[in-house]
Amino acid sequence: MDKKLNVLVVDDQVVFSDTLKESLQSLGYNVEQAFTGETALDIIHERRINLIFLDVFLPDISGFDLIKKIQSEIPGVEIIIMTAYSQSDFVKRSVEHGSYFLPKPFRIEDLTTILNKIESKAFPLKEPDTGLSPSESMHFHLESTVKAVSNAIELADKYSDSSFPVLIHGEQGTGRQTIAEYIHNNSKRNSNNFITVNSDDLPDDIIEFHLFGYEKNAFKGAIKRKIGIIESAEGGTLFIEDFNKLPCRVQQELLRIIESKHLRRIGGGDEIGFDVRFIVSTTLSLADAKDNENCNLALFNKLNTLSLDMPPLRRRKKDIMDLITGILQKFNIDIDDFHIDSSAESIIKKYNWPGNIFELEDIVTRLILMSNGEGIFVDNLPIKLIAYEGGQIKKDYTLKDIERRHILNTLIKVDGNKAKAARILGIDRKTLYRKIEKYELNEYK
Amino acid sequence: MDKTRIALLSQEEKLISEMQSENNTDIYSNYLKLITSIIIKKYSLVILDSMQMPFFNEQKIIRSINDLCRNTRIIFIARDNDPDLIARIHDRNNIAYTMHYPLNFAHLTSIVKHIISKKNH
Repeated sequence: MDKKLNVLVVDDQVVFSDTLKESLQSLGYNVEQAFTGETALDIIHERRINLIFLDVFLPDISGFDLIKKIQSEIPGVEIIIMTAYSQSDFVKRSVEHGSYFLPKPFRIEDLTTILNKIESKAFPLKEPDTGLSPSESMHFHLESTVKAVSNAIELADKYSDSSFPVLIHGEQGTGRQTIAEYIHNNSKRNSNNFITVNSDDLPDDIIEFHLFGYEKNAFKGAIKRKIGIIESAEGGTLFIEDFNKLPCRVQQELLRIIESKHLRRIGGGDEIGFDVRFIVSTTLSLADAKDNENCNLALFNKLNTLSLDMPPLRRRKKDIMDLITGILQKFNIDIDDFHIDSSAESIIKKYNWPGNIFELEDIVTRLILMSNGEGIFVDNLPIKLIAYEGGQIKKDYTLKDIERRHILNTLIKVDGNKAKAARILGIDRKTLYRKIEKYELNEYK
Repeated sequence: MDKTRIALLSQEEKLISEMQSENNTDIYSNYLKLITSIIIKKYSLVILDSMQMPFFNEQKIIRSINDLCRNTRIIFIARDNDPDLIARIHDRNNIAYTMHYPLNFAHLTSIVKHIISKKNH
C-alpha cells in the first residue's frame, strides 16, 4: 500500500515555503503550498492532506483560528506550527491546540526529528485502529467434500499460473467471486489489487466511465480526469460479475482491449497499455450465450478458453453444515456452543437454496441475531424453508396451513405432550386444545 | 412500493439536501453508528463521503460493510481524484462506483436511480 503522505505548507513567505517544500519532497512527501489561509482551506477541501506545516502569521486569518477550522474539517490531522517568534506563549497555545511547535529558522535535522516523532505517534501516519476487524475470509465457500467443487479448485490452481482470462460459470451466490479471488491470491499478481465490478450496478453510460475512465472535458461536468477501474487494477486482477449484462458496445470494447492490452479513456486520444488479468463470471452456458442477443459471442469464446463451473448449493448439500460452521466463525461463534435443532437441520438440508451460499449466509446471519447467538431453532426458520416440500414451495400454502404444520411438528417433537407443546408455541393449553380441534389433529385430542 | 433504504455518511449540506429531496435516506455523520445500523436496516445503498472516514481506514470500513451486508451497494466519494486511494479502496472490496469532489450530481442521481430501480425490480 502506498503511504506517501500529502503535506500542506501554509506560509506567506514564498522563499521559505519553497525551501521547505523541496526539503519535504526530498524526504519523500507529496507537498502542496498555500500562501493564505483561504487557499489552505480550499486545498483541504479538494485534496487529501495528512500533515500541515502552518505559519501562525498569515495575511488573511490568524493561524490559531485556521487551526480550529482545519481541525473541524479533518479531525486528527497533524499540524506543525512554525513561527519566527519562539515565545513561550506560542509554544503554550500550540500545545493547547494539539499541535507541534517548530521555531523558525530550523534545520533539516529539526524537521526530521519532529516528523519521526509524529510517525512514532502513529496517527494518522500509520493506520489507526478503528475497532473494526479486517475482512473474514470467505474461503470456507470453497471447503467441500463434493467433487464438483474440488474439480473447480483443481482448475483454479492450474489457472493461477497463467495470465489468460478465466470464465467462471455458475449461478449467483455460488462463490464465483471467492474462487476468482482464490485464483488471484495464488497467482504472481497477489501483491497487487483484486478489483470487482458488478455489471448490473451502474447505468449503461456510467459503466463505461467506471471501466475505462475519462479525460477532463470528455463531457459536460468532466472537471477532472478520472482513472478507470481497469487502470486501477494495474498488475492485478479485474473480476467482472455477469459480464454478459454489460451493454453490447462495452462488451465489444472489452474484447478489443483484452486482445490489444491497450485502452483509451473516454474523450482521450492516446492508447494506454495495461497489465491486468481478467476473470469474469456468467450464468450462461455456451448454448445460452448463442441464444442471448445481449451476449457478445466473440467475447464469450475469448473468455471461455479457461473456464470452470461453480456448482449450486443444491448440488452440494453435504457441505451445508460445514458452510454454516464457516458462517458462525465469521461471528466468532464456536459450533460447539451453538445449538442446531435436529428438525431445523433437516428442514435446512431439504430446502433447495435458489440463492445458494449467499441465501444461506443471509438466513443463518438472521437466525444468529434472532437467537442472540444461541442456535438455530425451527421456530425461527423463515416460512419459505418450512413450507418447502418435495422440490418446490407449495404455492397454495396459506398461513393456516403453515400454522397447522408448525403445531403438528411441535406435537410430534414433544411426543404429544400438550403442556410442553403449548410452552414451546408460546400459547396457553386452552388455545392449543382449540387449535388441535380446529385443525383436526385428531390423534392429539 | 419503494423497497429501498439509503444511508448517507456525510456532513456536506448540498449532498444531504440532494439525497433527502428524492429518497428515503438516513443521514449519518459517524461511521461507527452507520455500521451498527447497517446490520439492522440492511440498506440497499450506502453513500460514503471520505470526509467522514478516518485516513487509511476507508478500505477496512468498506470491507466491514461488505461483510455485514453483502447486498448493499456502495458509492464512495473521495475528497480528491487520487488514483492510489481509489485503487486501494477497491482492492478486495465490492464498490459500485467511486466519485470525487467536486461532485457530479447528475452522475450521482443517475446511479442512485439505477440502483433503486434494480432493487425494486
